Amino acid sequence: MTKYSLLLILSLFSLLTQAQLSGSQLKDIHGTMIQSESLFPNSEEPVVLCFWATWCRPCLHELEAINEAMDDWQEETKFKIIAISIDNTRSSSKVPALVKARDWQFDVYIDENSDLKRALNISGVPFCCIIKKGEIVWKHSGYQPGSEELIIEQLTELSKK
Amino acid sequence: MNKQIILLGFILLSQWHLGNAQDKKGKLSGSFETINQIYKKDNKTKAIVPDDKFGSNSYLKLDYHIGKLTMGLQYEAYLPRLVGYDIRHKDQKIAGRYLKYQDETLEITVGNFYEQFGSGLIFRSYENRELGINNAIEGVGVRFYPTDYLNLKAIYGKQREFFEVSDGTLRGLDGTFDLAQYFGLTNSHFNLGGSWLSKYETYTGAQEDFPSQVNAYSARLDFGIKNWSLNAEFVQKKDDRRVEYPTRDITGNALLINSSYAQSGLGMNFTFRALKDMSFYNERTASGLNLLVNYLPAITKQHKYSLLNIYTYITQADGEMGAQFDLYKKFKKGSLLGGKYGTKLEINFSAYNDLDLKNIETEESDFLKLGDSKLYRDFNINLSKKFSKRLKTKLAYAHIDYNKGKLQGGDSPIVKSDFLASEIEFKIKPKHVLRAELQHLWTKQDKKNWIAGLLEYSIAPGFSMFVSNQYNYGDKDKIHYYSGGFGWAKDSKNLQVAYGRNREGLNCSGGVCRFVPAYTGLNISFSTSF
Repeated sequence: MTKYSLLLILSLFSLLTQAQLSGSQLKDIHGTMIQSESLFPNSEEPVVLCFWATWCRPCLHELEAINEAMDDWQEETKFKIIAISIDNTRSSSKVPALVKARDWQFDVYIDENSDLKRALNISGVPFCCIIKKGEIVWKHSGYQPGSEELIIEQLTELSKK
Repeated sequence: MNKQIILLGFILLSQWHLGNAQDKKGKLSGSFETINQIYKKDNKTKAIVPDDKFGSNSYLKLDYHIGKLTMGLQYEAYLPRLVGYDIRHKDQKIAGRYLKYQDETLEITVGNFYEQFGSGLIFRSYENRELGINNAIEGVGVRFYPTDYLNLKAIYGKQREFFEVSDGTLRGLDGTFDLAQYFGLTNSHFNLGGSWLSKYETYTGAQEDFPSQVNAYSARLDFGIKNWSLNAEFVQKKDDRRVEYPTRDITGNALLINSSYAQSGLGMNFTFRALKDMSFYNERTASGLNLLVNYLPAITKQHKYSLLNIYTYITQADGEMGAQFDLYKKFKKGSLLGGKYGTKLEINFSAYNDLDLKNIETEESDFLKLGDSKLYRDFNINLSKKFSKRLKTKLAYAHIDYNKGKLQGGDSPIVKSDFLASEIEFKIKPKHVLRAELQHLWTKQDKKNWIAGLLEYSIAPGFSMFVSNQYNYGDKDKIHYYSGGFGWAKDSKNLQVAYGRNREGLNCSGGVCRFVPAYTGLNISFSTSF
């Protein structure tokens, strides 16, 4: 009976699909806990959110490609990039050393128990999405060299709206 | 049945009604993932073929949030389960449901939820679909942030065990005090934390004074100034007796120390961990990956190359001590070693031994006293160099000593292996990239030498195809683990199709990494989120 009640509740308002951006607990690279809502101000400036892990080769390729293109992209439009590592305690301690060594120009946070990944219903990494005014407006799963271009195409498109 | 039809009708009616009402306050999101495999008999690899030569695991997750409330459910189907999954993964069910209230300082969840205290040494509930683990708590979870320097958590409930719940009940408290925030220190960070976790499980056996309750405590600190940081956590678990040893009253201990130094272009990380009797199960008779209360991952490098995942370290919760060191270096553009585009170097080393035996009869180890048995050594170097806008290369070397007898049982000698890999990524034209990978593993023990190759062609933004082979030419069976397939991705939809022989390990292709158990046949997986 419980499952039918829940189905009922869920289906009542199923008009908009939008994941919950608040209520997840993350760590910054110093280990200080922060709430996910603090990362997504309800502003006009889009936030690009990329999920990755130290053991995921395509993720590292994607973030490297984004890092290299960042300066050019910033000249075209205003936006912010945040990389969320889903490394659990097996490898999360390596994140600060790797990030600093690679000179990534974006902020990095650690989603150690996949709180935010689960809230955004992400199946696997790499995964990037764009958030504007507190809502996800674009998402892309997987990475092939060159697919990072989709991000700047979307950002440019959004800046025209 | 009538009730179900009435409910379904009501659901459809309410959908229609609200559709007209244009109520845009509530929001629904979710994900769907399905992995399907068709198995083929393969005498060469001796891959397991189930009676039904088809396997299918599917997961549907739905979350709905309105204002301060979030609720959701997870449906799972194993019709039948994929090869390699526990036999208790069977049939289909709504396996999890929850209701969560949250405001700026408080979060209360009733139902199924996931939580972690500290680094997870004392407590972690999580989901890992690739490994078939879901030990979500079914009960009540509270997170409370009374000030910006205090973070409190409480949990109460049972643990999920496949489609059932555990016999044992868990109660736990965790707190983190941010001293840097409290004292207004801006150039450093300093947190102190502690946890308590208690397990209660009724005992009906004959042994007198057999404890029904097991208590564990942990203390931790995170400290950092400028480019340097130090984290440490210590755990003690009291009198966690197993049914097979009713008089064995042994205290479990764990110590984890981590230190990092990072500046522009250079990062170093050192981790030390010692464990003694730290298998912490929700039930006295539980074993393996199921019903674990705490999380004890192998603190070693998670290798990206397939042949390096043949000899992976397995945590020895009853007694191990060891360390891992990582160095990340980027030689900048324009420097002698950096060249025009920069060069990246990664060095990793890890070493684990057992602990000294304190009591031969009870097999109790001496905490923090290093034993003679070498369990694992791994030294590896990775070098990445970009030569032009079209050409990137990688070179990797590793030496691994693997005590197969101690880690996997049996009478195997220590497997000593050397590994070399090279990789080329060539951009044929914009968005068209060809990647070639060649690996070789040398060992005189176990299954002897391996060679592996991979060719991958990708067309951005969402298509890729590959062919690969891993050839165990040193072994008498001389098995080729061939494979080929393609991947397609658009928005959050991801489809992967592959056919071939699969050796157990982490498989990364088409941009997504997954753990794949051994089988021969066709694999079709699809995932999406909305």
